[in-house]
Amino acid sequence: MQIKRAKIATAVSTALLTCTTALAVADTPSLGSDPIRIVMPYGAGGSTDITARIIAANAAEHCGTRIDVVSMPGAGGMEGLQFVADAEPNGHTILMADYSATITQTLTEETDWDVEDWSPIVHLTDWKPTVYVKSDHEIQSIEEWIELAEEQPNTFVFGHADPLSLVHLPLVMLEMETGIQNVHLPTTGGGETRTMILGGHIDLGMTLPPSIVSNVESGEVTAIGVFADERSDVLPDVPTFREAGYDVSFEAPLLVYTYSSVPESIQQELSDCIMQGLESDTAQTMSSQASAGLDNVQGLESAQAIYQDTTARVREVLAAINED
Amino acid sequence: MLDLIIQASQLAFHPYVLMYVFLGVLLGITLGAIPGLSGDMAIALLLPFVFFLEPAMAMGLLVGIYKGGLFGGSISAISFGVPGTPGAAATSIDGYQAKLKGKPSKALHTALYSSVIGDTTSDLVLIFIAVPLAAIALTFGPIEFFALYAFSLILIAALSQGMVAKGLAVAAIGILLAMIGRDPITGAVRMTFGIPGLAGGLSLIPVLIGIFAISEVVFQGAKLWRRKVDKLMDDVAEQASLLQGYDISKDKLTWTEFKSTLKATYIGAAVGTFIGALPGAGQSLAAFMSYGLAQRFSKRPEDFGKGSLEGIASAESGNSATAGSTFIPLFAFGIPGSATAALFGAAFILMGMTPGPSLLSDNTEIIYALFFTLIFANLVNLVLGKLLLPYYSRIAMIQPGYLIPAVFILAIVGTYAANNSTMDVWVLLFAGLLGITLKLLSFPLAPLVLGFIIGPGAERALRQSMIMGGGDWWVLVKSPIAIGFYVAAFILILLFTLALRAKK
Repeated sequence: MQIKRAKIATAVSTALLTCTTALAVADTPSLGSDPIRIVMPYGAGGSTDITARIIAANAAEHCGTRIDVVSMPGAGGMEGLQFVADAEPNGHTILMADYSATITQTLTEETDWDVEDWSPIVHLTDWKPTVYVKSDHEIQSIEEWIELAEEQPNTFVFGHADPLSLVHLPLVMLEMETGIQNVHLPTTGGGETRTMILGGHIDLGMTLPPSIVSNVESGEVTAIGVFADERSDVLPDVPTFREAGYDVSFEAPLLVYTYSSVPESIQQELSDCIMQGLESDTAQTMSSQASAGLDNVQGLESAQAIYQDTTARVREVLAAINED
Repeated sequence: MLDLIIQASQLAFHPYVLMYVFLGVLLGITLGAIPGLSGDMAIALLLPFVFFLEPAMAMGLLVGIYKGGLFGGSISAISFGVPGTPGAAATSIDGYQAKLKGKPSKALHTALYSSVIGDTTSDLVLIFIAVPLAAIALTFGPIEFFALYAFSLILIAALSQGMVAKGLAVAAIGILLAMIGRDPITGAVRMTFGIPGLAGGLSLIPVLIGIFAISEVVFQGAKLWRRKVDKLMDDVAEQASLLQGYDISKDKLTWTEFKSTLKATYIGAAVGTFIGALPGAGQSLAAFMSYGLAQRFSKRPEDFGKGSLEGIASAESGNSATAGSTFIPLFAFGIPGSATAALFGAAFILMGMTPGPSLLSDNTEIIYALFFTLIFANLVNLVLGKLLLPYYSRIAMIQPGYLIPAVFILAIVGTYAANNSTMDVWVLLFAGLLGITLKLLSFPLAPLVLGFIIGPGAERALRQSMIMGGGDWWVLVKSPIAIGFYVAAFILILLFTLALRAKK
């Protein structure tokens, strides 16, 4: 009985929702004055948190309303995505995330949405996965790694945070490209990978540049290659894999999304006002202080394009993994 | 180095930080003095709010609560014979006797001084040992870490109040709960029974608050209401009758008496510091062991159990001396050795600092500031304790009827606020229920939480070792450090078992 009642209630509310949406669409819907919530599927205090707060502080006046940052790390980030997916589709609840949650996890886990249900509206920055070794290790360059790994397959231990994460998929792709084989070792994240490299327990590791800059500068570790189209700003001496002759680039875009049921006019409006906010001088100063890398923010079209590229790339890698 | 000390002391002695230390100590002594409430519980409840404070202030508050709570427990132990915290159980043996003999003030002052001396000793050991230990920690890879985790888990379970089987069982439940969610190696979701909200595993905060606060509050509520209140009321009547003919001027702790307790205090400080550094051993074990040793080395062992000030001093210094050293495994290896250390570890994580070998190098300033705060909080404890002792005995009389709803609401709001997750509130209630059930069956709760925290690390280290060793189990004993841990665990358990046998 209760289940039935709940079902009826859901049906009624869905119907009502559809009505209101339909009504709203009739006269080109626009963003209202209610506060906007940026949901972040990560714990508070990290680097993405700072980026979200820079948006909140600078885009508010352009979007015409207050912007709050909500951190929802529950269920490996899926709780945050669910919250945005369930919210009223009026553009007041938006998501900020890299591709792990919206693409990789959506493709590999049971979710209420598909990859296409996320509509990226702002392309904030790209993270560049970087491979590094201890500075007294026999491998000190991309070429040496490939050569030695071809001679002795499955001997070098490679630490890479969570399986299928931003710093694991590029390794799989490189192995697909070159045919080399390494021992894949999941770790709790950049910190543990770094400790294991420094202690000489593992051979190679992958991380994002900011977390190893100080160790590279002090000469404790050598960054040997970057999976990106261009070199990293903070590690300008480190070559890309393309430069070394391997056509593997796997940057991780940080994007702002709405759920796809949000009317397109609102998506465009949000995209524009966030862009305006981030292009302001205050936002740029805040970004460079926090090393948030928001100096080349791109709008809706670029965001959609990179999202499609990344989706294709992730699908390809996942397909290769499933074949094994 | 000098720069560092200056910067750290600027952080630590900022007026706001000092204010939070005062507030924390006050809160800690108060809560510790109320039977059933403890500093650990207050820290668990405050965890979600830590994120909104500057790290130095948050640390000041938590350290204050912790230290205040350790001493506060002895107040109700001495005044009513009801230990306010588990660590104060040994204190109540001689403390309550001393009070019945008309020496409450002497007993309380002895407790305060020995508590502060024991605590300070332990802090100094932490400061001078954690730094070099953290440097060694880099030589720890997955194989060594698994040995250390296994060592900790075995000790934690085995040393929990002498109930080896129950301790192990509860630690296993903790590990099992921690396995819910994502498999650390393959990333696949496991043991969630199809509930999407569990895919990320159970969050630490609701489990901690549920186990420590909710279960305790409900349990105390049910129990205190019926029995303890009556008993406390009897005690008040008894106390009133005692007070007739009580002359406070004759009940001052003299210098000679203070000096006579010093040997016991030093024994307590040494034993407490050592036991505190072992993962899982805990305050009450430290207190009882130093009580036993002090009695053996005392000139008047026959007074023990009859209101001996030496007995109070050894027990109280022993339990307080675990305060600093319990952080040693947390700082050096990221392994919490006690429930309190686990709570501080969670606070570090909330403030963006990862406990473990890189904790010190990544956050040097704030950790040195914490060192200053640890020492400073002892002084505050001494001053506040001395000033407020006369009033504190009365605080222990607060009706649980007011406390229980307040703690309950704080627990739910705090849990929700930490992650904006309703799932976490359900986890909190479930953990509370589990805690109550286990308490009713007289299982110790600390091993559960420690198992929950250490379990994932142990599993990960084990599976990492297996991957690196190509699936060969012998890889686990290929490191001399690992072998050392396995041998040490065996010897320690043997020693403690023998010691416990001898006591019985």
